[in-house]
Order: sequence, then structure tokens, then C-alpha cells
Amino acid sequence: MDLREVAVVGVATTEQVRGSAGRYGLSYGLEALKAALADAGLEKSDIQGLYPMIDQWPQTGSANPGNYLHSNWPAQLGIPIRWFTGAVNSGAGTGASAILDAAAAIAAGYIDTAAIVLGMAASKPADGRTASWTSQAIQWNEWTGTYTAAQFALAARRHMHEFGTAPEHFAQVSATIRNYGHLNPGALMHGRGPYSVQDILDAPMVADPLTRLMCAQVNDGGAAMILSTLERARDLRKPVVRVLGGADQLSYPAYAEPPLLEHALGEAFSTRWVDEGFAMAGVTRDDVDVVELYDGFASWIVMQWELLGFCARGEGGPFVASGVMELDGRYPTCTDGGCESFSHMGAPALLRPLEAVRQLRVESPDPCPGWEQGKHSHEPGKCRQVRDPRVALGVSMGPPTGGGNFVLLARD
Amino acid sequence: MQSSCRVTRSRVCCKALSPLPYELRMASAADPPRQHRPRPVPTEFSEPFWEGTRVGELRVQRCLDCAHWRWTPQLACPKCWSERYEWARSSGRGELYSFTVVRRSVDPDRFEVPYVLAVVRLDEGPHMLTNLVECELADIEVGMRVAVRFERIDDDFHVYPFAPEGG
Repeated sequence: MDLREVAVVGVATTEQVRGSAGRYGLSYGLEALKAALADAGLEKSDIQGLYPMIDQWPQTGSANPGNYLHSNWPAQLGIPIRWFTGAVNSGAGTGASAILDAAAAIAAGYIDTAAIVLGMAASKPADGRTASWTSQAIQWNEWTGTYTAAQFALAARRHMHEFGTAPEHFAQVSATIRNYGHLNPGALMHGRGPYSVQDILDAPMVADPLTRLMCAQVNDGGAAMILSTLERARDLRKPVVRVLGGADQLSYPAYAEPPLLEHALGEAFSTRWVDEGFAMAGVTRDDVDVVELYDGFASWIVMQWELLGFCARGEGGPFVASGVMELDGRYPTCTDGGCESFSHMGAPALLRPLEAVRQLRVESPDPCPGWEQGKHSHEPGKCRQVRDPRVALGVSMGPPTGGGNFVLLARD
Repeated sequence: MQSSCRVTRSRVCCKALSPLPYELRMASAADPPRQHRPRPVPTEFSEPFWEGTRVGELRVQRCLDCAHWRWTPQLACPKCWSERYEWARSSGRGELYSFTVVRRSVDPDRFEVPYVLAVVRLDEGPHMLTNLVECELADIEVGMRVAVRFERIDDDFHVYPFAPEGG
């Protein structure tokens, strides 16, 4: 078969909110999907492929009660679905892998247009507990009192032990990312900064070495992305963002298994899967202008630079301390404020690649007076739009020590 | 009474050492009643492990064909894919691979902070997620020798925190 080129033609996010009492994840997802179709200039009847990740599906009494994955979607959307993949989820990364999967289906010609939909509304727990998705009823670990932040803390501690990584490195990550969010009017934590490294270190300890400001928030909201053929994209209204390629690697079951650096960084450490993703995309790490990592926890960013081969194993701490993630650094990172400031709906789902698209389109709201016309000062601390980006990396990496996926995107 | 809550230790230390709302602690006048820690829900597959904890054995799957020890349990050996295995008795000893002192409880009704979440590398090779008990917080170091302590939840369940070896 002849392969077709693929592009992102529409993106949207709803308002990101804390504790949306009474609203369903599906409701956020539908709102985002409508907005993404409008962004693209398409109709719902154009959607052929669907990649949903939704919690809080309403119990309407229709088919598949409690099952948000399958056959109720045509009934709800009022369209047939020709290509369905629910919860595309390698290593808990549901964003980039969905884009790659949809791109493969479009490239091969099974469908012309696909929608990725995210809607989450379960962040607010009762009685001071951590959010429901942060702990699981697994017999081997529930009795220990483990939850997501503690698991990442275990990985962070081991990284410190093996490589001399310091809490200051983690704090540098969070200060940089949160200061982007400080400038982003769409961010949940807009205007809360700016933050110094010391501010991050001084925040209340969650599970040492991770302070509260080194951890992503939890919140509700929706997001959606529409993909189609490059040929069609060029007839639509928004700047065209091409899907160049990427890769996906499942490493181990997050939280069910103890988080070991060996899962990704030990004997089996290899960036081969990443190298191959760059090769099939036809670009190198040097070509990348903006990076959207999954900043569920600051320590995880340090490790992702190593896992993705941007620095050597164990060098992630000094790498981030060099200022590489700043707007005037080599790889501006998490430019919307990331999971720590913009939004984190409990999964490294769609928001990281989605911000990569917005950066490539040069449509980042920030304090620059001319941002709506694409005019930015590119001044660190006052602007968050990367200057003339051509290639962006969107990453969805989930388990505390490895595994996930990434997509490389480029301005047409 | 479980050994993890020694009267010779300070109150703070006792809290740190004993993350578990044990039944006996619940019965003491000093502590308000609180829920049990989550009770494991075994499967037919995992029952031999939990049976081991009741008789003081830490059992880990070992492949009968290639002798590889594996944790968490799997149907087949990840090394050789053999489905023949035994629940072998581990020494219950190992070293601390990593730890974190948890200050924000997953569920304040069930887990009192601070408590210590840990990963232990058993001498037989596998790593286990567990709690570290019977240890001053300031004394915890990655690499320290540790040994399993079985702690009773109820007649059916003991869990398997670790403590400094020889402690």
C-alpha cells in the first residue's frame, strides 16, 4: 500500500478545573471534541477513527453500562465509528501513542480522519485521600500505603544514590516549568509565580525527596486532537503540523511492580527504541526546537532526558541544572506550565503533544501584547513562545522508571 | 504485640516505625479507633504466598526449569517461559534498594504519617515493595541490610514489612 502523510488539523482544551462536582468526564471530552472540530473547520461526520480516554461515564442505562470504551460511542456521538482504539496505553502513556496509532491508520488508508478525546472528572477525592487514580487495589502493594508520588520518590531516591542527583536538580525543573505556567492564562496555576529553586525546595514534603511543588497537581478537564491526511490539512484553516513519526515502548506495569531503575536504566538501558523513532521521523535530536515532557514529577523529567538520549545515563541532574529547559535554553520544555501548572488529568495523556502543536502554530497565549497575531518578545520570564519552532517533541511517559512513547511533529 | 512498636522508643519514633493501624494499637486507649489497613485480596493463584506469611515464610516463585526467582508472581518464568514453578522459601533477607519517608498519607484513616515505603532487593535477587519498620528515620540508608518481619492484620493475613537486620 502507498503510505500517506499525516497532520494534526485541530486541537482544543476546555477550561482546566479543580474538583468539578457533578460533571462527567464525558462532558469535558465532548466539549473539547466540539472545539477541536471547530478549530479544524470539520464536522462530526468527518470523524472516522476514535481514540477516547474518559472517566466518569454516565450510567445512562444504554449498552455496556460501566464500560466507557466501546459500543456506546456511536450512540453518544451520533456517528458510526470505523476505527476504534480505547485507552491506547503503552506504559500508561496515552497521548503520543494514540497519535502514532491514528497516524498509522490514516497513513495506511484505513481512515482519513481520527479524533483523540480526553475527558477526566475524578480528581477530587473524599476525606483527604489522594486522588483515586494514585493508588490501586493490588494485593502486593496496597497494604504498604503506596501511591503515585511515593513510587516516583522511590525512583528519585535511587537515582540520587546511584548518580549523585540532588533535590536542587528536581527543584530547578519545577521552577522552570511552573514559571512557564505562571505566564499562561490557560494554566490552572496562572499567576501563582514566579518561583525560585528555593521556593520549590521549601514547599511541604510529600514523600521525600519530592516536595509538593515537585509534584503535578490533579485536576479535571478535557482535551481533543483531530488528525487527517496532510493533503486535507493543507485545505483547512490552521497552520499545518505534520506528524513525522515516533516510537513506543512498554517497559513494566507501573505501580504493580516496584520501581527499579533497572527497568530502564540498568542492564537493559538502551535508547535504541528512541533512536529508531527519530530515524523513522527523519530528524535528529539536534533538530528539535521545543520539548514537551511528561512532568508528573520533577525527578521524572531528570530521568526522561536520559531515557530519551538527550544526555548520558546519570547526567540528567546537571543537564537540567544547565538551564536547558528555559525559553533561551537549547530545549525549552513544558512551555505551557506542564502537568505541574497547566493541567494534569491523571494520565500523561494528550496535553504534552497538544502543547507541542500550539508551539509549532505559534499560538501560545502569554503576556506579550501581540500574541494573538503571533508576535512574541521571546524574553525569558515574560514570554513562553519559542522563536520560530520547526520541530517539536511530544512525550507521554508514564511508569516511574521507564516506558512510554513520543511523537515528533513539525511545522509544514 | 508486634515488635515494631517498642515501648522503649519515643512516641514520634513509634509512629514512624509503625505505619500500620494494627489491631492491638486500635485497642489501646491512647489511640482513637481507625480502619484497618487495606486487607489483601488474594487470588487462587496467590494463596500459597499468603499462606506462607501465616507460618512465617516469605515465599517467592522459583522456576523449576531454570531456577530463576521472580517477583511479582507470573504464570510463566520471564527468563525461559517455563510454567513449572514452586513457591520457594526466601531467606527473607536483603538490602534496601530505595526508600521514601511519606509525609502525605495516601489515606489518613488508614496510614498515619510518617511512614516509610521501601524497595528491598532480596538476596535471592527479586525486589519487593514493602514498608521499613523498627528504624530511626535518620538511620535509614540505601544499601542497608534488612530482614522481613511478619505483621498480623487478622487471622487470615500477615503482611511483610522489613526491618534492619539483627535489629
